[in-house]
Amino acid sequence: MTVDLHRRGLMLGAAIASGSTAWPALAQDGFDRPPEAPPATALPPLAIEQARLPNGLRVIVLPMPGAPRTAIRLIGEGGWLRDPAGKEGLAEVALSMLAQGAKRDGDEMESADIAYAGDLLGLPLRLTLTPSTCELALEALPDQCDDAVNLMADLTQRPLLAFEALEHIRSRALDALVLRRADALLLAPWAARRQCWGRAQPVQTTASLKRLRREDVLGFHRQYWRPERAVLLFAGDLSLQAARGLAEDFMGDWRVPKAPAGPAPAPALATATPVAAVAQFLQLPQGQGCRLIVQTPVPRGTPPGLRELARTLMHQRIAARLPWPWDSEIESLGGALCWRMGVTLPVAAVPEQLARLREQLPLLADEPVTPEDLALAQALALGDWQAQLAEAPDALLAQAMAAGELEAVLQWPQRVRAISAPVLQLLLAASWRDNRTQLLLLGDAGPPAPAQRAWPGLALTTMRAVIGE
Amino acid sequence: MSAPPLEPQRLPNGLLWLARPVPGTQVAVRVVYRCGGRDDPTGRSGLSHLVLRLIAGASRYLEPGQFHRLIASAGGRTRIEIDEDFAALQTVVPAPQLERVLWAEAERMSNPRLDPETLASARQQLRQAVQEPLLNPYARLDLAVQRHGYLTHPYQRGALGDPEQLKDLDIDAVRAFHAARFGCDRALLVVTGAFDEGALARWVMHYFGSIRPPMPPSAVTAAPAVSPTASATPASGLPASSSSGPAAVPVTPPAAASPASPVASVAEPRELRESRRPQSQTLKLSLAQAPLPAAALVWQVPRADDPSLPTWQLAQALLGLGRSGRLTDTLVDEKALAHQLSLRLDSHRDAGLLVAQALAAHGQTAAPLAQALQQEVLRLADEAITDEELGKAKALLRRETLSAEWTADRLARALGTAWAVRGDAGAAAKDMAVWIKLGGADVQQFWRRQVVQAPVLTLLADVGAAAGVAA
Repeated sequence: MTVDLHRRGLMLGAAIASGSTAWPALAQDGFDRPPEAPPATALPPLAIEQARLPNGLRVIVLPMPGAPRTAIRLIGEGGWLRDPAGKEGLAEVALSMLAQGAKRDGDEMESADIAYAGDLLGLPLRLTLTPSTCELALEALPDQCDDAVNLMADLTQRPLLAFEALEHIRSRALDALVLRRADALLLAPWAARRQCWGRAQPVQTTASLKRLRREDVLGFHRQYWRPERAVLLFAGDLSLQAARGLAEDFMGDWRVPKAPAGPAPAPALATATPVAAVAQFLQLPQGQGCRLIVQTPVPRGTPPGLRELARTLMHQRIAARLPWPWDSEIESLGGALCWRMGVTLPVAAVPEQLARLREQLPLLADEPVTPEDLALAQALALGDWQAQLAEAPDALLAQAMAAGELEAVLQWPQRVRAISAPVLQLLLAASWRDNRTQLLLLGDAGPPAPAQRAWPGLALTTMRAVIGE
Repeated sequence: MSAPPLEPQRLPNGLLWLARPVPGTQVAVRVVYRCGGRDDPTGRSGLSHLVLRLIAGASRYLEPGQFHRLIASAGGRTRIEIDEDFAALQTVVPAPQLERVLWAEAERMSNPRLDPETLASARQQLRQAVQEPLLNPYARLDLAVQRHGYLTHPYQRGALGDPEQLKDLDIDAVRAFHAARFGCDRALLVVTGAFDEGALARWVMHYFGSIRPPMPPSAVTAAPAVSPTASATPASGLPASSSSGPAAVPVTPPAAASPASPVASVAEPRELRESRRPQSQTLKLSLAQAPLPAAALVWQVPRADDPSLPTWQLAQALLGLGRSGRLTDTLVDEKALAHQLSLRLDSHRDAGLLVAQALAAHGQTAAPLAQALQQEVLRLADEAITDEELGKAKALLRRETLSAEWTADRLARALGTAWAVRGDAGAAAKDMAVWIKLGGADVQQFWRRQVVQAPVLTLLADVGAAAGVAA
């Protein structure tokens, strides 16, 4: 088993300056500095091509000449922020049920047939649920794209959504819930969102899953899988004309439902104000360490490029000052933004790291943004963008669409270069104030007293208080 | 892979290197040392991991954190990987930055800072890396698969190591191990991505060709010796039993070497062989944190360069790859016995494992789950494999293999790993050539011989009242 120890910042600041002069026998002389850095190359914006079918279906193509395979995604609006109150989990169940049965030319395809059809293309069908979208993803050779689009059309336009499938998927969702609650890493994002946005943030529970009826699933599907609100995305070596032809062949007769489109995602979140500074410790029995999360709200409307530079720079700073493998993100939930940094700590390290974190967070946020800082953050933001484009361009575009930020991602190099140090400084300095920073400890952090001394106000909480049951 | 055979070139100092172009805007540089967890001396599990962190940490001309800043300011990413068979450092940057990365990697290879301060820091990082996976409620099951899946081979210990066995390690022992196992003549440099071939060849020669090979043993200052791991390490000598205190470092210098030479006293790793499992065995685990029962079945698999490996891969694809693999189809979707499952083939230089692992669905217990899992695995030998099913499995494997060529990052990793584990950077292309020829009957015949008749280790992890005695 290879263990990938990658974390950007894993090694940053982890070592301690040394004055030793004991060098190994391999020492190389005359290479005491790196060659000059080449001038930064200007990256062009990303060019996509788009069309709309008469039924409103949007077709987007990211041309990738020479790509051996084509990535295809059908993106609908039924993300988990659309879960109705009391029926949290509906979006996930409704999406999973698409792969449980559908009709093709009047014949029923069972889940095994669907799985088989996806696998035949070389990469299994993937179902992805984001806060704002639900997605079907496939990948195909150029001459198999019609099979892929055909399968997507069957699943979204002619799903069976049978009662038996609901019971199967519900059972699996309940098991997943049990697993999530026993695993600090899986629980952390949900508990953190709850801590930040309170009850406005939908979280599935055993009760909410048990409440789901087949009619709920049928209604949800009708409401959110609609051609005029869906996007068919291609990334590969094909023209817009070819993509449009595929869309017309298999989705041209997808009718716009008479029922009105669903409401905006999580209306409660749209007006929710973040919970004030709070520090909670949710103990999970017999763990061997804990997950530590700090988070702070970010003003709505903060541009994605600016957010990314701020996140990147703060990440560099904290990893240098507190040498642990941190991860960080700024999450957008229907426009509500929360900046989150997390790390996994052994029990013994918790009190000391908490104390240092409490002291360092405002200091790091207040540090002036130098031209070097800005250049570093810009380089990282552009490098990540290039890496994502190389690795999974369809995923990059789908994420951007889910967040409503496609234009910003297409123009990423220009947007990132346009950000100035003072603006970046402003966002950093406004964040991570004592009265806005929230702390969450999940797992085994030892007895509470030392942690509470290190972070005054840290209070024990329960699963019921955080999740609702 | 469709490209011509991949033969690394050797520099005068012994360093191997190979380069492959990949369209795009990035380049990847990977340095692989053929030294991993298997090479850790007895009682010093994790020493290779520790040395890797030291190499990554600081060097003569790169202060702590400076390498990272250099890569970050270029818009790149860097990571380290430790495996049972190898240690690797990989960096991906925009293509124009290639020369700077080559300088920096040569500097890290040539002049790593091995001193008490950097050792303390690396030790702390290693402890954290060992700790992190333990947060998973099923971590002990994964450890048990490794610990009991192998009978005598050092693969039992895993790659991350045991911090307790390293806490009293002094810097001289680290230097000796580094000099013996992490020299340029034991490494492969892989460069992939968008580069100019002529410029790359010049830079490699300039920056890496000037690295001095390890000095002969007589020129090195004396330091405490460490011994290679014996092939017959008993299971009782593994971290489970040694975690209560630091293990002593046995001093067993090889007969031909000077006892004063640390380089020579870290003897060349010899051929390590895994014993054959004599009979099937069942062990019960208690997983205090786990909410659902789990089971794992473990079969022994030959070494990674065995000619039968492509057949193992194809069988694994039939059973476990994709949403329609036989195991998922039957146990998750049809019978609803498992919440999730996986079938993985862990291939290593000296020995491997085939591991079928499942979490029980609500209301199920571990023993029936294991029984059903075993039945499904064995059924591959009897239930006909249609041409269509075989074609699907080959399509999944082929896509998985070819996708390694699509980005500089993936290709560098694939080539470096194949070299370190299979002894052949071009192994994947040869696998594909074998899959094409294999028919369903070949796979079934093979399965009867290698799996149906072979002893299996069964690990049962129940929760609550159903939990048995911990293994």
